[in-house]
Amino acid sequence: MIRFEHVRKRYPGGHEALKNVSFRLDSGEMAFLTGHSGAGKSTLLKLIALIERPSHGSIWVNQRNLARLHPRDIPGHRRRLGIIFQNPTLLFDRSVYENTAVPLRIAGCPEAETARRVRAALDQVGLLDKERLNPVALSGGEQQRLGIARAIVAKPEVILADEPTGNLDPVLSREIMQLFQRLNQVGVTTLIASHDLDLIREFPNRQLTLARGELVGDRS
Amino acid sequence: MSRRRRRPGATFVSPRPRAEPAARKDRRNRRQAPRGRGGSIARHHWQALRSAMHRLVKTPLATLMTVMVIAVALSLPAALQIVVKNAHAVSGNLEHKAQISLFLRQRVTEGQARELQQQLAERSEIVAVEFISRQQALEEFRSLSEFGSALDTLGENPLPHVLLVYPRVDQHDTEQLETLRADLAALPQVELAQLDLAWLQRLFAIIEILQRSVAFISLFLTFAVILVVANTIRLMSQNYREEIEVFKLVGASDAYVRRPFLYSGLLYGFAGGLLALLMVLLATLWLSGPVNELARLYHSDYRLQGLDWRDGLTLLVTGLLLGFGGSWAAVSRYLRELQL
Repeated sequence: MIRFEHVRKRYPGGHEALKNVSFRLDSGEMAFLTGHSGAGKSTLLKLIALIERPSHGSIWVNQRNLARLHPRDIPGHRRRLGIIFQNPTLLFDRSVYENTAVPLRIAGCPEAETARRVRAALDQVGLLDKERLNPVALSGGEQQRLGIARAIVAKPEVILADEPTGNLDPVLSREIMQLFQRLNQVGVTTLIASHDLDLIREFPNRQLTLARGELVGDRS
Repeated sequence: MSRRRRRPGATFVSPRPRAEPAARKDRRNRRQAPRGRGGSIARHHWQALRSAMHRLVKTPLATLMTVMVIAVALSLPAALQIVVKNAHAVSGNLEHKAQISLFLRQRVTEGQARELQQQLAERSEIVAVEFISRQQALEEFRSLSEFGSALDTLGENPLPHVLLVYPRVDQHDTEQLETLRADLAALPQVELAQLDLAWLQRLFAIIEILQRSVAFISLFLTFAVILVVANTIRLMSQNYREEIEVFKLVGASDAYVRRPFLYSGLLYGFAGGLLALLMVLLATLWLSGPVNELARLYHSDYRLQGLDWRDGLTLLVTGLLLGFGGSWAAVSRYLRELQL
């Protein structure tokens, strides 16, 4: 469950990226966050991931008030999230397998368990046959799927995706969105920021619309 | 390993792509990783150490240069410490040999001189008294001064009997020594009582200056080593910025991110310390021959003192601590700046 209560975010310099945003996303729900560039989509996701802190208001993620989270608890909070970016930020000196295994290694997961879960994640995104390759040998769509595999490998409670199809063609974009839908079917709360309204319309999920930092639409 | 087995329902097809270097590295990593459920901390440290070694090996020239700089910075105070140590050893020997020379009157016979030796040796403030007969003194003078032929022209031996008095009093207490000298000079058999402590005092002063200089230089070079390591680790952390960001975003703690850099610092420090130790040992070996030969020419059994195992251990531990301190400072600052 994600809950925003009157959240404002003002960056140093005075720019107000979010203005009094309130909404609630139930556990296991999937929603799209739409709006033009600069509407505040990325800021909203960053607030959930605690990359940024709100200037005002409170954010709740699975009964945890993020405003009261101690800095030393931030890593633990992030380990419960799966974060996917427009650029999948892969490590190109490691194989597909090792890229996927990063969250498990950080969590200190035993080797056998790591191997099992990495293969399961790669299987889910259709990259199991490429586990030994270097990510540089993957196509753009495959790299994005690898980013998703890394995000889901530690079985997160919430998936946050920031323009995950921004660099992909329409066919690959649809594939990625379908992948998110499949992941959501196992009960993972999913929030996807995207400005691709044509693509979003193909899916029946809830749609939150931001404009100039304000939540101007909430369509189920 | 089990990862080679195909799982039921898996959609992948053979043939497998040819393993790339990254994949070979992964296989090796997984083979060597500590196992067991309780080995999480050990696993993290193992990963961090492996990662640190990988980072150092990846840039061999830069690593070598950093290690060399650390080694030079550590070997300088170590070498100076050896100089101080040897100066102390030399002064220690001299200290115990501080003496008052009693030149007896010409009329004093050898028998009377030996009797006086006995009397003085019984005094509580005197440790020992050595007797040098006028004949012995002449022979010694002849062999050392190379004026043997000139001495032959003299009709008789002009040298007196000499008593060398070794006082029990504190060598640094010149007042007490002077009192003793005056007391001995007043003896009717004594022509001249000579106490020459000035040169010893000068030597002690020089050693004190040397010791303080070593402490100052050591402090100065300690900062230099910390700065070198910190700068190297700062550059390294900038090179790994992307990796650090990914790690932080998937839930790595600052300690997890910091750990490989700390290991890098420790490895730099250890390698620098080890190289410094080798350099100092080689220099000591190289110098010991001529120094020992010089000592032999002065009829001394003095031997050049090098680093013992405690000094070696101190050098290595110092290297490790400085490497750790430098890397801690650099990576902590970097993480603060990153604000993730």
